[in-house]
Parts: sequence; C-alpha cells; structure tokens
Amino acid sequence: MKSSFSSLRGHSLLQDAWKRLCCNRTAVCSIVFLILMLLACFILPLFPCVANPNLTDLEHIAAGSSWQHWLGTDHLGRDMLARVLYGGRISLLVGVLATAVAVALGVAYGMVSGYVGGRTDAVMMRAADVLFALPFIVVVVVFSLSIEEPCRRMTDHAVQLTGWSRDTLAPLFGLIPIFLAIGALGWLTLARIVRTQTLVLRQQEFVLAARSLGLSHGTILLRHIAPNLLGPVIVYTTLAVPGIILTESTLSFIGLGVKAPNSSWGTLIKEGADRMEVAPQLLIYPAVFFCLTLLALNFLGDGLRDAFDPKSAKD
Amino acid sequence: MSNPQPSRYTVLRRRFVRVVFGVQLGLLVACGERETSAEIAARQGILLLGNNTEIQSLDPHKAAAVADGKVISSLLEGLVRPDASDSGSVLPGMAETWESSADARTWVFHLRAAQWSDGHPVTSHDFAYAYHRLLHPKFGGRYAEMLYPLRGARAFHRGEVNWERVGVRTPDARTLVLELEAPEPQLLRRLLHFTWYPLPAHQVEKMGGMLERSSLWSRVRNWVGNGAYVPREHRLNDYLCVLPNSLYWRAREVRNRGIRFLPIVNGYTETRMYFGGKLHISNNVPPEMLDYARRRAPREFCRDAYYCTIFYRLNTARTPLNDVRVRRALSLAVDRELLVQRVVRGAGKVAWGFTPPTSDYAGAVDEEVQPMSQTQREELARDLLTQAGFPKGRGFPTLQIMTTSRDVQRVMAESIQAMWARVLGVRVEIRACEWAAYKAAQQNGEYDISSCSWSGDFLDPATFVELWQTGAGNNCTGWGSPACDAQLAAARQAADPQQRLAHLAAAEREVLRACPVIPLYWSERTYMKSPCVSGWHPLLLDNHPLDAVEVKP
Repeated sequence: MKSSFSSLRGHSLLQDAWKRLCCNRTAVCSIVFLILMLLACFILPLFPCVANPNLTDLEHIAAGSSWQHWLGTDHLGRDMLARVLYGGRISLLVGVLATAVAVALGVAYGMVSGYVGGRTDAVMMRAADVLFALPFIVVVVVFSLSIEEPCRRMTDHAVQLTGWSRDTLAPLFGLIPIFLAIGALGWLTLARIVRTQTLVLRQQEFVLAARSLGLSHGTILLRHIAPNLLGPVIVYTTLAVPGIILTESTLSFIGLGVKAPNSSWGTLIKEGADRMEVAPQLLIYPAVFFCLTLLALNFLGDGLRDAFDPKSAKD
Repeated sequence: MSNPQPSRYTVLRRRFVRVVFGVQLGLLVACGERETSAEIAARQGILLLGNNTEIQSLDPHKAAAVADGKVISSLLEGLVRPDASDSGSVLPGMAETWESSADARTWVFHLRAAQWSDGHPVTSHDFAYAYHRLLHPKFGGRYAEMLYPLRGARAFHRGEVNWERVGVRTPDARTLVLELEAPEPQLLRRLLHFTWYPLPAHQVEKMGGMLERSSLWSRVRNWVGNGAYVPREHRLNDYLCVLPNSLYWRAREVRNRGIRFLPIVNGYTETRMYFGGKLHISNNVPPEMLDYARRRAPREFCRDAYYCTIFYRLNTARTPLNDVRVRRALSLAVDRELLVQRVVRGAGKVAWGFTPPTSDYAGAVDEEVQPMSQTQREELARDLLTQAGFPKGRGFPTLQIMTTSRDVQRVMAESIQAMWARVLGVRVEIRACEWAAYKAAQQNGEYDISSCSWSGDFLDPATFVELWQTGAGNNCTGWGSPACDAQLAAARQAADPQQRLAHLAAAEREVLRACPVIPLYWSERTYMKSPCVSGWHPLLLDNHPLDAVEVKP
C-alpha cells in the first residue's frame, strides 16, 4: 500500500525536468564545469595565490609559465591567470546581469501583450518589431555611450556614500552601461516567445477556471501563467547568456566595453589576437576559457530544452 | 578471354580517382601560385602604401595629420619639391628659379609654365589666393601659423590689418614675391610643407568661394591639382587611389602608374597584411612585432631615424593640471628608460627635451632632472604632489588619458597609468578614441591628458618649439607664457643663425620648466618595404616624393 501511495505523489514540472536533466551526461558535466568556473572566477581571486591583475612588471613581458605566473604574463608583464580570472568575472557578470534585465523585460512585456490581446497586443508587438529592425550593435553603441556620463556621476556618489575605494567600485559601475544596453535590446526575442506561449495558455481551461473563480488578472498572470512559462524562459536564458557574453566581447573588441586596465575575455582575446605571431599564449589562454564556458552553457541550454520538453516526458 | 576487359565499374572508378586527383593537384598548384594583390599591383606598376589613418580632407587648409600631408603632397606641388634622398635639400618645383635679397627678407620666385590638371595655367595668383585663404581670419585654418614668416601675416590672421599689408605680391602671372617679417635663410625648407602649396583659384571660386569651409572642391570628382597625381577613387576606410596626372610638368619622370593609400590604423593588422602580400610599404611595425618582423624578413624591415617626438599634452585649463607642481610630478613619475626599453623596445631615445636633437641644434633638456636617478625623480615627484595638496594622491580627481586606438599609444598609456598609480597613487582612466574624435577633442580642449606625437614639418627646431606659442593652432594645451613668446619673437628677428637657435633653446627651456607637455621619447620609424620597391630612401622628415618610387615585380 505504501509503495502505491508514494507512486501517486504528484511530480512538479521542475522535479520532472531535473530528473530528466540528470540523465543527460553532457548537461551534468556542463553544470559541474560552470560551477567550477564560477568558483574560479569569483572565489579564487580572493586568495593571495592569484596576483593583482593590474600590476605591471615591465621587466617580464610575455613570459612563459612559471611557478610565480602559472599562465605566464601578458604584454605588460601582468599575471595572465589573474587577468583571465578577473576577465571571466566581468564577462560572466555581464552575461548574467544583462540576461536578467532582458528576461525581466521580455517576460513582463510578452505576458502583458499576450494576455491582454486585441489592439494593445498589436501595438506592443509592432513597437517590438520596430526595435527589432534597428541594427543591434549600432543601437547598443549609441545607448551605452549616452548613459556613460550618468554612470560616471553615479560612481562618484557611490564613492562618497560608501567610502569604498574607487578602484573597487569603478569597474562595477563601468559595467552598467554595457549590461543595460545589451539587456535593453536583448529582450525582444524572449518577448515574442512569451507572448505566443501566453496566447496558448490563456485559452486553457485552468485559466478559465481561475477567472470564473473571480481571481484578478494580476493574480492569474502571476500564479497561473507565469509558472507555465518557466520552461521556455529557462531554456532561452541559458542560451542567451553565451550570446550576450559574445556581444560584450564584440563591444570590448571595438573599444566600448570594459575600460583598461580592467579586462574581460573579449578584451583579452583582442589583445592576444594582435600579438598572435609574437606571443600566441596571450590569445590561447583566454580563448580556451571563453570557448569552454560558451560550450558548457550551450550544452546546458540544450539539456534544459530537452528536459522541459513535454513530448520527451515518459509518463 | 585471356585479356579481360576491365569492368565498367572499374573504369568509372579509375576515371573518378583520376578526376579527383587531378582537381586536387590543380587546387594545390593554384594555391601555391596564386598572385597576391601586392604582386598584381607590382605588375601594374601601382604602389600600395600603408597610410595610418583615414584622411580628414584633401584640402590642404583643413588637413593637419601626417596621413593627410602624404596624400596632399602627391596631389599638389609647391614652389619647391623635396629631394628623394635628402630631407635637407630642395629641388625646383613650380618655381623654376628664385633669388633672395642679401638679408633674406625678400624672395622672388619665377614660376614655370605649368598647368592645373584641367588645363588652366598655374599662376602666381593661385599662390597668393591660397595664402590669403589660409590666413583669412574668417576661414579658421588650423595650420595658419605656418605662414607667419610672411610680413604682416600674423596681424592679418588676427584681423588687425587687411590683406594688402601682407608680404605677398604678384607683379605678373609668373612672378611671386614673398616679403618676410624677419630674415629667413631656411625659407625653402619651410616651403616644402603643404600649407605653402597653391590652390586652383578658379575651381575653389566655382565651388563656393574662398571662405566656404565646407566647399566641395577637394572632393575627388571636383579635384583640380598641379601635382604628380590626381585622385581617382576614394572608398572610406578602404583606400584612396591616385593616378598620374598627364598634365604634370614632369609627367614623364613619374616612376609608377599610381598609388593606393590604405588607411590601416592597427600596426599589427598592417604588418600582418604586409606579410600577406597586400602592401608594398607599410606605415608602422609596432614595437612588439619588431623582433618578429626582423627575423621573418631581415631585408625588408626598415628602421629609419625620424624627426618626431612622442609626448603627452596636459590640458592646463583644467584643475589640477593648471598647477605646475602637479604637471611636473606627473612628468617625473614616468620612468622613460623603462618605457623606451620595454614598451618601445628600443625603437626610440629617451626624451628629456621636446625637440629631437639634430646636428645643428642640440636642443634644450630639463637640466635639473636629467642627471637624477629614477628613484630620486620619483621622490621629487611625490614631494611636488604633496606640496600641491595631494599627499599620496589623496583627493586627486580621476583624470583621463585620451589616446587614439593605435596599438603603441594604448600600451604606453597602460604602462604610464600603472606608473602613476604606483609612484603617486594617482588614478587615471584611458579613453581610446577613433582618430577624428581624438583630433576634434584635442583641438577643442576637451581632454585632460592626451597621448600625442609631433613630427617635424620642416627640418628646423622651430617646427617643434613654435607649437607652444600662446594660442597657436596646434598648441591645444591652453598654456602660454610671455617669456616663451618673447624668446620665439627674438628667434624670428635674429639675424645670426647661432643666436636664433639659442633663442629657440631658451624658449624650449621655458616650456620644459612649465611642463604643459610631458616629452617621452624621440621615436624612430619602423616599417616594412618590399624588395620590389626602388627609389625610396630613408628621410628624416618622412616626406618621400612618391613619384620617385618605382615598383617592379
């Protein structure tokens, strides 16, 4: 009796997906790798074994690996390992924050548009189409340049308020224009996905039931529609992060991303690419870190898509 | 049946193998022998020249960059033209002969019968017209002070007198008389610069008149010139193509069939393009690639002496850079020896003065500072900064170093940023700008610290020292001192050459004392030159007459 009871216990969508995900070996490996990478980028630099990434040593330029510098030094004698890890910190941070901005905007916009429907839907979607038509990089460039100055002023205020040193705050606040700009344009695709999904959901019986029970629209959106959007949103998010890290690299590559002497993977790869013939390791190390992270994120995204796909459900 | 026919299948297979193998072989051969664009151009006699940045304008009165000057001097010709093998001497250009008065104050030039590329004759009025335009107070020519040796030119440029008072006379269409403010035995060297070139007065008038700054006369399709080449095609950020001008007076002596100027800012990209067979002469090999380039092509790698200073401009109109102690502290904290050795990789000399020393001018150096060791300098720098009210850099605002996106400048800025942080505790940011934005910000004084280079326009220290005249068009630091201006004026009036140089040195010492600029090093020119190029000799001013360059496969 006991066993039949336990088999009757409901499975939530998330539990099912998680179970299916655990069967996918590549996805699990990716998760482990990403956790390790996050730990390496955010926790490891706190220990003294990682050097100051901005400490130049002009006596040892582009040196090979040694006990002191595990990955050697760059063209100004700075520790390469530290630069790659700190660079990863910025790249991952931009990736996550910009995705968060994009997801928040996209889900809200798409849900409202799809749920309200009618003329509102048409107007909102045409507005999104107009934004879609704009060349992405150009808009990001203009946008990030135009909010650069307010961000600088914000840094000054933050320095006065918290009393922290400018060196710790400036790189963080310097990122705001980039992730706001990328996030502010990255939500368009998600808004469309969410809208379509909402259109389907709002005609389902459980929404009808909820409405007939007299629930407010807000509650229906939050308690009944939003949870059902979780699958596509999670999948889209994991797939969007690598794209956004790539965009940040592009921006850094053309000189709009992080400011020297700080680095992101994009700037490191650019600096390395210039010196390809002379010191190939300057290109290879950041590129390897970057590619592996992107691959892991993509595998995880694929795994999640399969896991959340109702058609792959065996029961 | 003892000699069986091979089955159909076998025949097909053999044929297939043969075809595939043949195609592959063909591909291999094709890959091995594909002509590079440099080879194709060499066959056609066209020179592919790396030219650093996109030009701002073909109008010599709106140009100020080295890249612009190179293009313009192939399209227009002045009274005299440069010698292909010696920066110090000049050859007759538009002027066939000339004579000067005994005191070198009045110069008479007799023009040859030359034509503009549209068939109009080149007259002395074209020269007077050009000088009138550049100096006109309403035109706003950035480089107008190049013409200040002319009598009354400064006063006219400031709007104090009218044009008739300026020392340019045209007795007839083939005679040009230049009257100078002061004796100038080296006038001919100055005349090599593009600010002294004539303009096609008829064409400029037709396209909107003398004072029309946005005139379209200098567009490729409206171009009229008297130089060895006429522009043919300009594709922004791609190339500018010029072809020989059939009406040029030495058209027969032009040694190539055209030039393609390629604006490639990134030296790494450029060097890579050179090795990929896309260029005949490159503009710059970045320091980090010197060893690589030398090893890979020892005969093609060139390293020439150059009349050029690399320095930082400080915007003295802004706090705290208006304090001379801060400026000096910043200057002293830069370890130039380390910079030249490690960042520039020896392709330059440490500069404690501004003007690169030449055989006749030893230059002025900061005598107080030069003999010190770097540790002493750093201590002095810290003291000065404390006196200025920023002990250990506390309270010092975050300044910005503005650089172009050029590789060397960025690497240098990053190392200087680290030096200032280490020695003074001063934090600076680096802003890398695209060339046009950089130039505009510098000329409008919208910067804190700007990473610059200045290469001599003519072979004389005045081309460096006169920059720091109060309010000079390329001063851009907001700095000026009556003492320096007085020395410059005295140098202009001095009859004795030695005395003149002494005045220039005194003016330079004033500059070094007030430190509106931080001289870093005197650079050398490092570039690649293909073996198919001949007629290109090292020139201190890098003003190669390109018509003398021959390209042969």
